[in-house]
Amino acid sequence: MLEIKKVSKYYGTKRALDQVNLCLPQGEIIGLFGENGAGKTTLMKCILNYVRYSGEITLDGQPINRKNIARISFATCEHSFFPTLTPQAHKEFYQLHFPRFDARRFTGLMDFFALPLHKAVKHFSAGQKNQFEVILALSQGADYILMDEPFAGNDVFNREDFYKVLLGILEPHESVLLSTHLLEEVENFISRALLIRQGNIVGDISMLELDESGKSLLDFVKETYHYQADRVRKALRDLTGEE
Amino acid sequence: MKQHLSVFMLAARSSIYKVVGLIVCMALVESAAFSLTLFRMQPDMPISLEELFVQSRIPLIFGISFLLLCVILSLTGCEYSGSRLRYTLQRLYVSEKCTVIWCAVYNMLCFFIFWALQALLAFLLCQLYLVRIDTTYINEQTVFLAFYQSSFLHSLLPLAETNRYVRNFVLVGGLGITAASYSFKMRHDLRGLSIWLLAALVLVSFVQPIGIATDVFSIFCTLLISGTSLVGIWKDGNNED
Repeated sequence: MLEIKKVSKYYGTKRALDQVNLCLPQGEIIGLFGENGAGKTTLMKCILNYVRYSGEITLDGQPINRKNIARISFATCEHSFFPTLTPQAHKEFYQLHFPRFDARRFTGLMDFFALPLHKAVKHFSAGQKNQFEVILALSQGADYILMDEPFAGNDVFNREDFYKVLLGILEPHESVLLSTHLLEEVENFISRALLIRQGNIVGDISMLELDESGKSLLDFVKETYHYQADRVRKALRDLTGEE
Repeated sequence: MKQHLSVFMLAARSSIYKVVGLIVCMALVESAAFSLTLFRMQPDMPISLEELFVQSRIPLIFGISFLLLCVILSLTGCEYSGSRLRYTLQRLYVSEKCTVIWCAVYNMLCFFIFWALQALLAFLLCQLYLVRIDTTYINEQTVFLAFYQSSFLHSLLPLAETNRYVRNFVLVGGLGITAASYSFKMRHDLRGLSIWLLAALVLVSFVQPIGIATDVFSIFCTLLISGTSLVGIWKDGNNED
C-alpha cells in the first residue's frame, strides 16, 4: 500500500501540491488526470523522493528511501534511460541494480515493439524511445509503476497496443499510476480515476462506480471541473459580434 | 561491488570512444606538425629540440586537446541528450554521490592516460629529432636537456623534480573531481565553474618555469577548488529540490 498523507509542495512561493491525501493499494491501474500544471508530475516526483516536500509518503508503512525505491519504477515523457547505451546494456545494468528485474518480460516487450537490442537508444525514433522507457519501467520488477505521459508523441495504434499489453502482462501485485490527458483512450483500461486541480485531489472514483452512475469519464471530469459547455459559444459571440 | 563497477562502466561506455579518438587525433596532428617543421629545417642550421617543439606548436595542440578532453568528460553524465539521467541515477543500488565518485575516478584515469601518452609521444618525437639531425649537433644529453629547458616538456616529465610530480598528480585528481562535479551540478540545474578554473590553472602552470613556489601555489589552488567541489556535491546531494 502506497500512502500519501498531507503532502504539500511549494516551488518558491508557488503551491504545486496542497495537503494531498491518497491511498494507492496494489493491483490497480489508476488514471491521474488534470490540466497542465495541476500537480500530476510533482505528485509523482514526491513519491519518488526526487523533490523535497512536507507531509508523509510511505510504502507498506515504511518511508520511501534507497532501501525500497526499487519497488517503484518511473516512465516519463522526459525519458530517464541512458542514451549512449543499447537496450542490451540497459538490461545488464538494470539486472545489477534492481534484483527483481524481469528479463523475460523485457525481452518479450522488446520483441513485441520490434525494438533493436544492439543499437544505442539515442538513435531510436521518438516513438521508440517512449516505448523503451515504458519497457524499462515495466521490467524493473516494481510493485508501483508510475507513468507520466509515457506516450506523448506516439500514434494511436501504438498506444492502443500498449494498453492491451499492459492489461495482459500485469501481475496482481502490480499497480500502475498513469498520468495522461487521453481520457477516452484509457477509460476502458483503468480501474480508478484521480482528478487533480491546482495541487488538490478534486475527484477520486472507481470505474465501477462511474459505470453504475451511467456517466463517462469525460462527463465526470467536466462535472468535477464545473466545465461550462457554452463558454466557447459565448467567446465566439464576443469575438465576432454575431448572435 | 558489481553494482559499483557497473556505474564506473556507465561513465566509460558513454565517453571512452571520444577520449580515444581525441588522443589519436592529437597524436596525429602533433606528429605531423613536428615532422613537417623538422623536415623543413635546414640541415646546416638546425634548431634546438626545445625550440622545435615551440615552432611545431605542440604546446598549443596539447592545450586545445586538453580543453576538449575537459569538455568531453564534463559533459559525460549531463542531460543534453534529451534524457533526465538523474531520475534513474537516484533510484540505483549505488547512491548518486557514489556515482559521482566513480565518475571522478574514471575522469582521473582519462586525464592520467592523456598526460602519460602526451609524455610518451613527446619522447618519441625527440627520438625522431635525434635520428634526423646530424650527429655533430647532438649528444647523449640532448633529450635530457630539452626536458629540463622547456617548461612544457618539463611539466610533462619533471625528471627529478618531485614537487612537480606531486603537482601533476594533484592536478589529475582535481580535474577528475571537478569534471564529475560539473555533470552532477548540471543534472541538478546548478552551475559548475570549478573545472574551467582548474583547466585555466593547468594551462598557465604548464608554461610556468621550474620553481617550487609556483608548484606549491598550483597544488594549493587545486586542493581548494576540488575540495569546494566535493563539499558542493555532498551539500547539494543532501539538499535536492
